[in-house]
Amino acid sequence: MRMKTDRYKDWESKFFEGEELTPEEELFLKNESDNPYFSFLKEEKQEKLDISFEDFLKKTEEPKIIALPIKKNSYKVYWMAASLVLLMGVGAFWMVNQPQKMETVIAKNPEFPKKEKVENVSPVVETEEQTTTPKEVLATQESQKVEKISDDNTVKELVQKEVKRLMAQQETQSKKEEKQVADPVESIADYNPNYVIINGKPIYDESEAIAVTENAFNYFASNVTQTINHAESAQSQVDFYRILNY
Amino acid sequence: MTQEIFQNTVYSLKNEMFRFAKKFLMSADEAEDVVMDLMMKFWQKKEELTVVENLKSFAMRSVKNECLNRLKHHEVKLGFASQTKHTSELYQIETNNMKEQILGFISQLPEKQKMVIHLKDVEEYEISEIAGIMEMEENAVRVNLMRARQKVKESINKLYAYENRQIQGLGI
Repeated sequence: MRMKTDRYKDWESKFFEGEELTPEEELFLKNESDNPYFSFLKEEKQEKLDISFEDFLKKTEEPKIIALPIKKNSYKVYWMAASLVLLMGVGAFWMVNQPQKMETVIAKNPEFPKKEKVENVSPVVETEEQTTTPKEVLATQESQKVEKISDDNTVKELVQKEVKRLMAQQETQSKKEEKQVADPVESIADYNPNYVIINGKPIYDESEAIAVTENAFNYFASNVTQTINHAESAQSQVDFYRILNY
Repeated sequence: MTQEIFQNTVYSLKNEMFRFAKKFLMSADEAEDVVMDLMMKFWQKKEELTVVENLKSFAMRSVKNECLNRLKHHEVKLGFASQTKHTSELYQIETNNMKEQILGFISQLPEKQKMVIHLKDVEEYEISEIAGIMEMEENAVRVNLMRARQKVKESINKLYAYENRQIQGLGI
């Protein structure tokens, strides 16, 4: 009897150490051991689910209706979704309206330079006068120099040179005018509507300006007639020498 | 699969499934609900079950997965918390029922140890079968079983020692 109790105590200690026992040893412990754990195991296995197979089959035939509980969190989700949609709407509205504002800004800007251009129209014309008159005077001065040289050169060469210079002057004038039109801001800076500068002198009156230009043209005309007369005399000399040669 | 075969092979596992589910969920009602739900699913897919080799392991694994899914649910967690409070040390001292005491010790074990000790000692599964159900290595099952049994034994010895002190105190 003592041997038997020693043996099952040994099995019990092995059991609680986690060692595997034979099915017979385990069965013996469950039936004979006075340890409450083994009696607990026996009682635990007696617990059953009392639903017969027939009841189960009846349940399978019933349509299962699952009532979904209304979650309080769903309202939060709705509010979040609504606020998101609102934000997106505001964003879209802003995005759509933004290009129109840009267009108005772009449309306003051209009006400002146009006003400047309108103001520039009269100065450009007046600057033309400024540029043309001194250059014409310079041309007459140069023609005086030509007059001195004319004794040595032929009339044709002189006339050709003169024409070339005039052409070159016209080209430079036209280029300057183009530059002035292209850069109206510069002309605005130089322009003063109170007076016009001719040959470095400011002229405040229109009649005075007309008088100066008339004098300049008269001087130019007298120079031209002088050169023509010289040319005619030279031609007559040439003709005279030809006759002598014959 | 005929109705009779289903009854003998699948529905006969209902008690084991129920006890296993109860160990997880700590609630007989919840455990019953889990078993009935799973049985309904098995019934609907009974033709597919003929392919399954070990129906017992498959059914217990299904219970484990279903219980873990339910444990994620907030209400079940609350129920579990209240149950663990119920089996607290104070409750153990007050009650004299040894079965409830041991049940409390087991419920306080870590989940894997709790499942392994239930499957091995109550349901008498083989180590290899438990490894299949719990999706663990066999050695891991053995280690978990050893630790679980040691903890239960220690708890029982402590309880005996406490009761002895109480008796001695009354004698004085």
